[in-house]
Amino acid sequence: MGEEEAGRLDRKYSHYRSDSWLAGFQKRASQSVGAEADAETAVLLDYAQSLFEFSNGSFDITTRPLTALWDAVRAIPSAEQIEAILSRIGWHRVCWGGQVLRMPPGVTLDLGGVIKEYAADRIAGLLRQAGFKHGFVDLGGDFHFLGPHPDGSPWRVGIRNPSARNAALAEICIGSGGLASSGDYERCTEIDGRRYSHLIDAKTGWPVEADHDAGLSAVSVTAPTCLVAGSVATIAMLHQGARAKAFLENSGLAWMSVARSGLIEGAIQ
Amino acid sequence: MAPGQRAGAAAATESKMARYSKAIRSLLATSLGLPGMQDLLAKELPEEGTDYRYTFYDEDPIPQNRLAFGDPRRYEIESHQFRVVKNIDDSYGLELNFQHETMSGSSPWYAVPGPDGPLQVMSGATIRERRNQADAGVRFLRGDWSHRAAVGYSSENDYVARYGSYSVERESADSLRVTSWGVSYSNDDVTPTDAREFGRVESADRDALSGSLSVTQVLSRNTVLQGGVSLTRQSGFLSDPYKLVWIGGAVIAENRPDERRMLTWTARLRHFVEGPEAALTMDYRYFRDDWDVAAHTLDISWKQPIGETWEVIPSVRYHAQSAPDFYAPYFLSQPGGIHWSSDYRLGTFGALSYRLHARLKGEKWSLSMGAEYYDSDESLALATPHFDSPGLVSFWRLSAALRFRY
Repeated sequence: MGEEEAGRLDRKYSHYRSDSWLAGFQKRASQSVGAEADAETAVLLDYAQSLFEFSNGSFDITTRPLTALWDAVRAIPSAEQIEAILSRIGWHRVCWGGQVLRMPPGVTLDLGGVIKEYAADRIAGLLRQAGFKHGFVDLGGDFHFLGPHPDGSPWRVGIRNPSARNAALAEICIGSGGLASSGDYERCTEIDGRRYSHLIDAKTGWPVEADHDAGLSAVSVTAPTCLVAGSVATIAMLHQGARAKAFLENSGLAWMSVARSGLIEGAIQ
Repeated sequence: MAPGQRAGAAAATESKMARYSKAIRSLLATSLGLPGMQDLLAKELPEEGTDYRYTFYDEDPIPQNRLAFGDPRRYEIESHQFRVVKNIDDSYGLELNFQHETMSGSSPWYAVPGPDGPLQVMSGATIRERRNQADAGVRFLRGDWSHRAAVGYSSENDYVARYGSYSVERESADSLRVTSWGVSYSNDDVTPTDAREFGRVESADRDALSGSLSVTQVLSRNTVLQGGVSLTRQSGFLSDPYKLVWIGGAVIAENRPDERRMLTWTARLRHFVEGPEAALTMDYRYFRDDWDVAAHTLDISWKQPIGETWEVIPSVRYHAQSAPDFYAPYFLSQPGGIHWSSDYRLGTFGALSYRLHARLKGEKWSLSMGAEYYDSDESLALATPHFDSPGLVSFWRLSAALRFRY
C-alpha cells in the first residue's frame, strides 16, 4: 500500500520523468489560458507559496534550472549565466490564484523539496486508517512516526556523522510525528577544491554559503507532519548560521543542527 | 526539550500546537487540504489511566459563644474516589467514576436571638451516613470536533440524583482557539428521614437544566485565556427539608422559592513564567441569580516544578457573596415576603481558603497530597452584612491521590 502511494506520487510529480503528470501540467500552465490544478496539486502549490513567503524568497520551486546549472559545471558559473537564468525563473513570475496556474514559457516546477516528505505523511495516514498505531514510515531519511513502541517507549533514531559514515553523531527520541533532515554532505558539487551545497538560494542564484566551520552541514526537525518538518529543515539550511538558529528557535519546533566544525546544537527528545 | 517547547507545553495545555510559531501553524493549516493530513493532525484522546483519591473533610465545631444548644461538632466526611479512563481506539474513549462517601456530624438547624447576636441551634449528631455515586462518560473524536456524553447516579438514604450531560468542543484551524458548548440535566428526589416525626415534607423532587459556552484562546506562547458563561434553571423543591427558621418565637420549616435561575461568568488566565518555569493560574467567577444572590470568587495558584519529579502548588481562594432578601438568621416578626431561610450558605459572607498541594511524579504514576484550610466570616464579605451568620463554617480538607497510566 505504501509502495503504491509512493509510486503514484512519483509518477504524478516527478521532475525527472518527462511523462509525469507534472510535466504535462506545467506545459499547459505556460499557455495563455493556464492550467487548472486538481485538489491535491492546488494545496501543494498553496503550500509552496507559503514556503516562498516564509523563507523570504529563498525557497522557490521554480529554481530547477539553477540547480541543473550548478550540478553540471566544472567551474563557477559566470554572473551572466546566473543572471540569464534568474531573469527567466522565479515564483514571483508565476501567477497562482488558488485554482489556475499560469507561468511564462520555460518556467518549470520542481516539487522534489516537498514530495518526499509529503509521501511519508501520506503513507503514514494510509497506514493509520488501516489501523496501525505503532511503527513508522522511513522514506530515505524522511520519517513519519505513527506511534511509539507498543510499550509506550519512543523510537530512537541516530543522526549520521557526516565525517564518519557508520557512526551516529547524536540520537533523537521521538514517539510520533514527522522527522526530516536537510543536509548537504551527501550531495554537493566540488569546484576548485571548494564544496558547494546542492541547495541554491533562489534570491542570489548561488549555493548557500556553508563551507566554513560555522556553516551547517545538516539540520533535523520534528513537527506534527514530515512535510512541515522537511520544509523548516530546508529553509534553515538555506538561511545558515545565526539566522538559521534564530529561525529554528522561533519556530517552536524541536530541532538539531550539525555544523561543519562538528558542533551540535539543539535537542530532540 | 528545545527552548520554548516546555514553556508552551505548560501554559497551553488546551492546545498542543500553541507552542509553535504563528508561521508554523499557518503552514500546518495550509497543508490541511492535502488528503489524509486532517487525520494526522487530529486531536488526541485524554491519557489512559486509573486514579484513586482519598479525601478527609473536617469542619471546625461551632464556637461555644455562638452555640444556643445542640451538638457543636460539625460534619466530618471521608470520601474514596476511583476513576478509570480507557481508550477503545483512536476515536473513542471511556471514562468511569465511582465515589463512596461516609458522613457524620451535626448540622446547623436554625438560629435564635441571643444577647450578643444570633446563636446557632445544631441538630443532634447523625449516625454515619453513606453516599455512593457512579458516572460513565464516552468521548468521541472526529477531526477538529470532540464530543463527550456522560450519565450519572448518586444515592444516599434520603437523596437520589440522576444526571446526564453532553458537550462538544472544537479547535480552530490555527489551533489557537477551542470553543465548547455543553448542556446538562439533573433530576433529584429527596425523601427526608424522620419526615413524620419532624413534620418534614415526605418526598419531593427538583430538577435543573443548564447550558454553557466557553472559549479558550491562546494569547501567546506562554499565555492562555479562557472565558465562559453558563445559565442554569432549577425548579421544584429547592428548600433544605432539614432546615428551620425561627420567626417571632415559632420555629417552622424554611421555604425557598420553587424556581431559581442562575448565571455564571468565568474567566481564567494561565501564564507560564519562564524564569522559575512555573505556571500561574488566576480564576475569577461571577455568580448572579434571581434570588438576588451575587458572588465573586477569585482563585490564584502557582504551580512550581522542583526538579523532574516534584511539583508544589500553593494556592489561595477568596469568595464573597451577598444574601437574598429572604435570608436572615431569624425573623422577629413575619417577613414581608412568602420565602424565608436561615441557611448560612445563603448569607452574606466572605471566605478565604489556603491550599498547598504537592505532587511526586514517576514514569507511569504520580502521587498527590494536599491540605486546605477554609475560613468564612461576615467581616470578609464585600457587601455589608445586615446580620451575623453564626453557622458560618471553617474546615480542614486533606487529600491524597494516586494515579497510574497504562
